[in-house]
Amino acid sequence: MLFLREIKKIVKSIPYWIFVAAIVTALFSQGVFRFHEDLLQEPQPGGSYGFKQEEIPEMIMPAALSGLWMEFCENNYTTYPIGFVKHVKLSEDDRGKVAEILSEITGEQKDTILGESGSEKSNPAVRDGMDYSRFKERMALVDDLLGGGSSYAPDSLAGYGTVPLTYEEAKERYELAVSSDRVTGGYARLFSDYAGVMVLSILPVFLAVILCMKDRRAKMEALIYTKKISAARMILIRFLALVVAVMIPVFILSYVSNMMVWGVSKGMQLDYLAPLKYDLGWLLPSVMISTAVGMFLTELTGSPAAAAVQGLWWMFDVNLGIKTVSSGYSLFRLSPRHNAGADSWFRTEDYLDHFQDLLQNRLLIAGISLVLVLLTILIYEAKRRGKFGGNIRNRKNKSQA
Amino acid sequence: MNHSIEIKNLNKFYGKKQALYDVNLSIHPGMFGLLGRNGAGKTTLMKTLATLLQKRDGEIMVCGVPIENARDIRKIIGYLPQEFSMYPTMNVGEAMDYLAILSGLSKTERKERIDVLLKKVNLTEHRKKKVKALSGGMKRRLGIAQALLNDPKVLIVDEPTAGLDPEERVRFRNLLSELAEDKIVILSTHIVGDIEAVCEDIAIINEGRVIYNGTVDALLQAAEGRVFTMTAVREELPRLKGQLSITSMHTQGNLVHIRFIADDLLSGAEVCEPNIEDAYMLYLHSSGLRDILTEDEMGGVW
Repeated sequence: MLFLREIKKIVKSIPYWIFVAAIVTALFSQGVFRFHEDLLQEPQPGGSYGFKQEEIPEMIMPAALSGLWMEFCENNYTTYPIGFVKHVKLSEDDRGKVAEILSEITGEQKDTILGESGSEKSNPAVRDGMDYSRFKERMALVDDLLGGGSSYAPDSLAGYGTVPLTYEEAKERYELAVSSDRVTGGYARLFSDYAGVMVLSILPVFLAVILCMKDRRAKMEALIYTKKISAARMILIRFLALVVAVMIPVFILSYVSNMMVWGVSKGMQLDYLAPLKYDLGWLLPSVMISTAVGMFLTELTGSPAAAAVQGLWWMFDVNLGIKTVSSGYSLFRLSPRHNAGADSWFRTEDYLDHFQDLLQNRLLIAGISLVLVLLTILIYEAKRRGKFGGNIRNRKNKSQA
Repeated sequence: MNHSIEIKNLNKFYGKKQALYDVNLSIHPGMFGLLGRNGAGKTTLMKTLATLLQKRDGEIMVCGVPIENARDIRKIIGYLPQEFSMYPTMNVGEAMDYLAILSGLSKTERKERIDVLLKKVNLTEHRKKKVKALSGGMKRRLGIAQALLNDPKVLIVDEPTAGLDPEERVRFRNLLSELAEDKIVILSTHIVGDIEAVCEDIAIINEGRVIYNGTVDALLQAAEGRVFTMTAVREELPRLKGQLSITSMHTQGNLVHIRFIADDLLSGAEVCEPNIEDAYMLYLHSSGLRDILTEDEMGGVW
């Protein structure tokens, strides 16, 4: 009963409808309601099938060397250490160390490299017999000198190995999308990618902050604190109500988006539960963490600080995604990424390869959320008994005592 | 179950500042008045009884339950804070229903209890009215109704009549009197008239210390022979104010009739029957407060 009351309280509020408008607008702008215009199609022989990244040393080494040489000549390196772009200028000392590395890779003298760099001589070549694993080690050292986040980092070097997809590979991708994703899974995943990063990792925090501050703003705290209900029940129900209220439009919109392709994917075995699976498995943890951070910090500080904290986390996470927008499943990602539509056959294999990482990430995020909710319960009860936080208010008002 | 509140050697601090000093009280069923100036410590004591504040030391038992057992205390108390409101967009019925759910009432109990309580506080006709549209008096009555949802053994009401017009104040006091028939009702106020009208037992609290604890009759008896009236010319008033503890005065042309407390009869003065306000002033005076007439709420007219 209390759950329904809390839901009603949220759903009847103006901020909730602003949230709904924001999610509809954000998702509409990404084309998730026009999936029927981008249908999964079987590749035909003789066409172009896009590209893929592959770790081919003969391709990666010259391309990476070329990039490094150009940046070395200009002494201006582009990195993304914490997601944000950063232009690094090396000291003479560090520049000498990079020249040593270039010397080892090209076989040219360090002094020659330093002398020629000013004239921007055309790209030097990788010396014969350069071992790829040694090359990777040297590039990792360059990345360290640059402070990390460069394209020479071990996990980024593959970016220099882009090759066209063959017909057979494209066909294989298509068949995997049909068999594993059953078509709708791929669309649901793309919906989740956009909904997670654009809306659900950040906006629920505002609803949580507003709901938690509502008692104080309505001068209702003392009335509620002295009632029989336990802090655990109160906080858990409010958390659940917020999460459900946020997930309602998500369920609706994910199905609206997915249903766009149901009618036009004739002859295929579709997974009609795919949106629900992705809503619960992919998006729910994002909603949970955003809500839990909002409740926890609002009860802790009695202020809307949670919005700023979650906003910062979201901003770093989104910018971190600049390098990994196509796919990113690292453990502490707020919003995992897998930005692949029907034109790339959803890159289902890539998703399946990283499924364990995604699972760990989602479980960790959900787990952290529950820990935060538990801490919120403890804080709420402590405030209720005047052991914490509430005394700030009492001190202010002690003149009334 | 023990049906009284026992407070022994209660001390309360806000940081390093002490707000209550060795408070000892025994409160039994009926109306108990807690009288004191603004900032005397009444709200601190009320909040401590309502489990909203932690005591530093001492012992509080509410109907046999130690105050530390907050969960059980919340089941048997009803609390109306000095400053409160409810979600403004909810109507009276919705607000009551929400708080009844938090009080652990079942659907049937809620329906029954809310009907009875709204009738009791004369808000039945306003059931559909938004909380934000209620007048101050109606809001207070709604506050009392919500405090009674769990049929508490103890009702704690903090400054309930502040800001109410005289008619609402009388109505509210009568309502509290009715409720006190089978409960402990603790009423804190700085308005002497509230106490005089409804309380039999009272405590006067000043600067965190209980300076009187007993019946209203005993308080009046203690003031007998120490309250005087006198008529003087207006020009003498500044001098008299400096010399006497004046509790009220009334100007008539060039004359001023004053009422004051003193240990001995002055020449030109007459002993008069003390009222509760005089007795209250006498206790405050004994506690070292002289310039009582500067307090707006104390200066009466007779």
